[in-house]
This record gives sequence, structure tokens and C-alpha cells, in this order.
Amino acid sequence: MKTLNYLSRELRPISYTYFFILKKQWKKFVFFAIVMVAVGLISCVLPNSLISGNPMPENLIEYLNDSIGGGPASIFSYMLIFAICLLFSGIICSEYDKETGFIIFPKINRYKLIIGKFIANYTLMIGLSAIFYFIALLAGLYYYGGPIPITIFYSFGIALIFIFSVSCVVVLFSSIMKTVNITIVSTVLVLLVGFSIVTQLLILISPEIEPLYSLDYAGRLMGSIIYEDFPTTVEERYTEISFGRFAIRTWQTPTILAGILIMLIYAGVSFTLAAIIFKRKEL
Amino acid sequence: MKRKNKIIISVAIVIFIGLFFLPMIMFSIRGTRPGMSRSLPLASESTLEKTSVDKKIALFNYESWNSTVSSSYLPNNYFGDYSILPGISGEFVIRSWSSDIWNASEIFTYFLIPRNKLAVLNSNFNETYIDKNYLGFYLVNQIYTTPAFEEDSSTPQIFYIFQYPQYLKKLFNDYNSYIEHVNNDTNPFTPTLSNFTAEEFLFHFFVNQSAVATPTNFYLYGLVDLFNDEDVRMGNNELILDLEGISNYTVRIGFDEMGLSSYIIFLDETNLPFYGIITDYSNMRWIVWLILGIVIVAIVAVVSYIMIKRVKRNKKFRESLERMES
Repeated sequence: MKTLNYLSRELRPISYTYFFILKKQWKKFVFFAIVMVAVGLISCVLPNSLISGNPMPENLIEYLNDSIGGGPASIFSYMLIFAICLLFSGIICSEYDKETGFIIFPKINRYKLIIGKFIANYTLMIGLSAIFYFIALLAGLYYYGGPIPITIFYSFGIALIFIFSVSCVVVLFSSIMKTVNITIVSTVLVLLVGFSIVTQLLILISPEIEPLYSLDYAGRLMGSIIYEDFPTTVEERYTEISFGRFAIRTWQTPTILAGILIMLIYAGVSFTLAAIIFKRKEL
Repeated sequence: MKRKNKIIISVAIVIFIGLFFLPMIMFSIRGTRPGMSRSLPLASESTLEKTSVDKKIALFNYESWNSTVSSSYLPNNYFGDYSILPGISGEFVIRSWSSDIWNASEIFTYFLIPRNKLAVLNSNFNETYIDKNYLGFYLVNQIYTTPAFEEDSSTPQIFYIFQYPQYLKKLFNDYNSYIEHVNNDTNPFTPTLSNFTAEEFLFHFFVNQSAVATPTNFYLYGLVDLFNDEDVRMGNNELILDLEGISNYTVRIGFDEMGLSSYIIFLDETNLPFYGIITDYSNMRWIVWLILGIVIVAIVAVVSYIMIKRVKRNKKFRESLERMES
């Protein structure tokens, strides 16, 4: 009983923060929910409904893979990154930028504050990605009928891990940067442009190296895991185009284990660093 | 000033969205490749929709097929790898469609001259000869589909719709005339080609590579009327062909409202079916609409509840304010 009381006392600040952030961010959530519905309609429904010559994928699995994708060409993963940046960017730096920390920090443990804020924003992100998956699945059922492939739920699981890891990276940036705007710009640049540039350079210099450093590459697992026959050999996981002696190798997807590990390592390292910086940062 | 800025931003957004969607909408209305003349009607476009249906091999009697149609040419030569497995079903997906204009030589080469006789095009009876002697341009709709019974379904199966039945009649006459000239050629290196009867010609087109323009019955009536052959008949949305293989047999091909084949049944001389493919049109669209309906009702209910609660709260607040003031 004592332990329960202790736990509830310790967890109460987290729950207060959680519900406070949910209430604070609901307008952003509604805005992004509308954007997600629009993106879902644009990427899953409109090309098939409006353009007769636009070929629909051959079956439901291909369709879901095309809609959800993951990686550089996926509108869904772009939207996820934008939404994460806007929701999480102010998680630490806003307390310093707007000097709200003077009121909050004496009253609540910083770790509890950041955990509460993080879980609340993560809940909203789960909701946003669920909206997109729901639209993609409904559109898929409309065009192809059932049965619903079980792999779509694996894909949703991977999407949640991807959101978790990107959120942690944004939190790290939020702990380093001074203002929300700089955090948003820098994280968008790193996640959307930085990883792509490094990957392109690697393709030129050493194409045989798999870009396991890239969160963007790990995110491709969201789409590729939908396939029932997930590639088992290394050769199946890349495509290669040769021009004489020169070859361009494009890595399509990491293995499931590698993809999840990359994301979890990013999440673990980023969140730990962010928490340490936040704890030590002076107002 | 703020209001003015808001209006400017709203107008800019509307223009931007309009510019984004307008080409899409225009493209879909035309439904054709840019450059196509709009005066050419596309009979089937209004009824086509991207969807999927289940096709099933309802019946396959191997012995009857062997003794009636051919022992060397099995159903898998027409309908795909798995079409010799009775009971098997496969998903048939209509993926996209477009229109094109073909000339006579393209149709002869693609549809009519057998693959092993294409050497005929290296003789005097080449594409130029065909186009010069059998002048004709044919408006053809191409429907790209995922085949139901192929092992590799990534390569689309294309169904062609010749817009008017007259096209097929003209092609039938032209091709048989072409064969006559080819077979009368004195050059020993020119391959000989075999003639088509009306029912063979239509079977060749409609068994697995052609659909009909809509309204289906109107098109079929035109076809049967033009060919005017006792072995070519029609039923309700159905083309009936009396063919001759090892023995006589009948093929009944049914067409759905999109003009695509809905069933195909082979019957022997005693009218006993020995091969059949049927289509199951029941799909999950009603479930999708039901879910969407529930979601929309739930959203409306939640928003209404919040609005009513807010109005009540404001009303209470105003009342208490008035009480305090009085």
C-alpha cells in the first residue's frame, strides 16, 4: 500500500504535465489531423480517383507500401517529421526562451517534467499516424477489398518506434538550441537534408556500405515490412545500376533487427543526452 | 490591416490549391493522353472504375477439354498459369486505362499475325504494305489489369476495347484479304497464314484480350449484326460462339457493366459445360462506407457536444455575471 501511495505521489506530477500538454497542444493536433487527412486523401485516394491513366499498384500490399512508404520519397514520413518538429521542438528550449522555467522548475522535478511532456506529445503523434494508417487502410479496402494484411500492424509498430526515435532527436536539439524556431529549422535540415546528402556522398564514395547511420534509412522499414516476403539476403535489399565500371547502389531497406536497433540507439542516446543537458542547463 | 492580410493569404492559398488540382481534374475529365481529339468518344470511360474482383475457375474437366478443344492447347495458354486448377480463385484488379489510336499494321502485328509467322513482315507484305492497302485508324481503349491466374502478377494484362463493332468487322475483312494475298505470293520464303472464320476471329479477340464498349448489349448487337454468321450469336450481355476443335463446342462469354468479361463457359456438343471462369463482384466497399459514416457521425457528435457544453458554460457565466452586477 505504501509503495502504491509512493508511486502515485511520484507519478502525479507526470500525469499533471501530461494532461496539461494535451490541453495545450490540442489546436496543433487538430491542425495536423486535418493535414494528415488531406495528405492521406492526396496520396491514397486522389491519384486513383481523378487520374484514370495513373496505374494503381498491382495488389493491396503494394498499394499500402506505396501509400505509407517510408524513406525519402514518402510524403507520410515527411509529414511525420514536420509534425514531430512542431510538437517537440519547444519541449525544453521554450522553458528557457520564454523563461517559464523560473516558475516551473522549483515546483517540479525536471526529469518528471520532460517525461510528462514527452509522453503527451508522443500520444498526439500516435494519434496523427493512426489517422493516416486508417485512411490508407480504408482506401486500400475500398479499391482492393480484404483481407487486411497482418503486416500493416507491424508497419504501424515500426512507425511508432520511428516517431519515438525522431522525437528523441528533436528533444536533444531542443535541449541544445536556444529558441523553438532554430530547433525546428535545424532538425528539419538534419533529418530531411543532412542524412540524404551523406547518403548520396556515400553512394559515390563507397556504395557497398549500408547507410545504417541514417534514421531516414531505418524509417524505410515502415513500408518494406508490409511485404510478406521480406528480403532475406543482402542482395535483395539493394538495387544496383551499372554504367561501365561505375555502379550506383541504392539501399532499399535495412533488416528488421537492424532497423529497429538503429532507431532505438538514436532514441536512447538522444533522450539520455537531452535529459542530462536539461538537468544541468542553467536558466 | 490584419484582416486584409488574412484575405490576401486566403486568396493565395486558394489559388495555389487550385493550380495544384486543376490540371488533375482537367486530366481526369479528358481521361485521355494529351493531344487526343475530344471529338472522339470514349464509350467505356464513364463506366470504368478502379476496383478489384475475385475470379474463380469454377470448372475444368481435363478429359472433356482434351477431347473437345485441343489436347495441346490447354486453358493456361489463354487464361494464365493457374487457370488449369479447378476451384482456385485470384484477384483481378483494374489498375488504369487510357486511349490510343492504332493503325492497321499495328493491329495486324500485335493481334493477328501469329508470333511464329512474323517473318511475313520482312517480305513484300510489310507494315508499309498493310497501311497502304488497308488504310484505317482505330480508337482503342487499353485497360491495364492485374491478371487473376498468372504466377507473376506484376506484369499487367491489358484488355483492349475497339470502340465500335465496325472496327472488328473491317479488321476481319482486311486481315482475311491480306492472308489471301500473302498465301498467293510466289516467293517461297513468304510464310503462309491461316484464315479466320468469323467465330474464330471473335474468339481470338474476346477470349482473353478484348472487352466491349458500353452499353454492352448495344455493342454486342452491332457485332452480331455486322458479322451476320450463324455461329456468332448473342444472349443478354453475352456473346455466344459456336466453334470447332476436335469436336464442336460452344463458348459463352458474359460481359459486366464495365464491358469486361464476367464469365466464360465452354460447353460441349451436348451442352454440358467442361470449363468455366466466374467472377465474384461482392466487395468490401459497403464496409468502408459504413466505417466512414460511423467516424463522421462520431466526429459530429463530439464537436456538437463540445459546442453545446461551451454554450451552456458561457450562458451560466453570463447569468452569474448579471446576478453579481444586479
